[in-house]
Amino acid sequence: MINTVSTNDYKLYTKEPWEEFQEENDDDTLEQFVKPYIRRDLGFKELLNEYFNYNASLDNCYPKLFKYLPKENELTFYQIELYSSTKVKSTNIDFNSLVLSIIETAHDIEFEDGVANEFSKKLNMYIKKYGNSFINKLIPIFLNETANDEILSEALRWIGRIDSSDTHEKRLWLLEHCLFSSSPTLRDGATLGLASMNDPSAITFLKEVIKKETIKELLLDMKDVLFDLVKEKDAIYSKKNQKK
Amino acid sequence: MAKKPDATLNNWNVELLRFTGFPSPDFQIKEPNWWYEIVGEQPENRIVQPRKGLFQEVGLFDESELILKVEPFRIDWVFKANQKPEEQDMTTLGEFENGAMQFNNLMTKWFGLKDFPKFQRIAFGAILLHPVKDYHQGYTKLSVYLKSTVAIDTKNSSDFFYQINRPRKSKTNIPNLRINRLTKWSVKKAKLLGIIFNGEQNKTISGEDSFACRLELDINTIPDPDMFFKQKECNEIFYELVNLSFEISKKGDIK
Repeated sequence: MINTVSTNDYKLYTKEPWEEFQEENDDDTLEQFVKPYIRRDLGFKELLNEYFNYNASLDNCYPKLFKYLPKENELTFYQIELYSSTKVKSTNIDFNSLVLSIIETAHDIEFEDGVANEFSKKLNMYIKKYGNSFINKLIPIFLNETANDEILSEALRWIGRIDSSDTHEKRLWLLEHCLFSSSPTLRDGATLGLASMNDPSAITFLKEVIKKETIKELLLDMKDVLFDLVKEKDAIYSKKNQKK
Repeated sequence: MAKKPDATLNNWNVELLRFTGFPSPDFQIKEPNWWYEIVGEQPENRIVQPRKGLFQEVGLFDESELILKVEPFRIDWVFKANQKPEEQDMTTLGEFENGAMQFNNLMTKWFGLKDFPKFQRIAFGAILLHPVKDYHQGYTKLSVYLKSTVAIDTKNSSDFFYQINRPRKSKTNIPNLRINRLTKWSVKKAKLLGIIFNGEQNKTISGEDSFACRLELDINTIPDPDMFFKQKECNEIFYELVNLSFEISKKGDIK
């Protein structure tokens, strides 16, 4: 298959993968090839982004080439989030590095229940600044449990507390998803996160995991949270009926 | 069973079609066999990135490219024209109606599979093109589609871009279901750029400029964390999303 990408202004096709091109050509050649296009701002940056997104993971990606690309203007990032859109949003922001930096911060902290720390503040800041795109990058970490369980559990507690209506649904999804984790520490963090969020939409999934939960203390916590959410649901329902 | 669309379309060609679904939080399938089960043969490429939770399969279906991308929080099917190097013009799947029916048939097969997941939100996306001579002709054509909302000065304008979402209530029997009808209208200029890698003698070859009206559609259900769609609902909703896109491509930006 020919490797092809296109943007609004340009189509690019290559008969060999980009990896081979990079191996065979040194930095000078790459610079000579790429820079004139970027300087003229002909959409080549977007073209390369499309190519990398399609053909390779960002981890393998081509730092040699990326160093020539202009950095995304971070101040404009939030403006382009459309909530009616389901299209994948592409960006130059290196979310992987941001996520790693948050995890790094957590390693030296002794967590105290309910006490804000450098880790929770960073998490709060990035979620509010970058919204759902950032949370999408967090999700695989919880899925693969690639960081320490205690750190992830702490993150889940704070994710439930963040005051951000724009990211509410995505955070709710993540917390509900982590109820099904194989790690009891994560299930505990998710339960506490959902307690803070106080959204009765979580009732269905809490009921489902309660049926399977085998750790007694965790089961009791889940039932307490379920009780509170059902009360909240009844309260909302009563308010609606009163208005009618 | 695939349904026939009920609108006659006005010469739009389709560059890309997309199904996007946001699965329920209890979704656990990691390496599904869906591509094989709906196409009937193995894909050409498979990418698995466990640390990112990404699973992707790519292959040809009826000479066009079909991509399945599975992540923990979204599933995408993309159907798009397979670019041939000798083609200077914008490559498409052909007429919108035919391409959409082909894609709808594929999705209907997928909806019928046993391990079809439950979704909280689904979407139909499309990028449509209508070739024109130049920007002026493109703006003239767009002004017909946008006549009730935007007045375009076709002779003295450039860089025109119009984006709008017009939500509607769903006509399916699903209570409280509302649908976003997000559209983006513009005139696209394309240039085919050939790059020949040959050690020190890399060469670029530029094709001629070509122009087209471009309509990007993103028709999707408005998220509601208490709403879940199983097979039957997805079938009904997807049919409605596709028909809403037909309506827009024929009648333009309407409420």
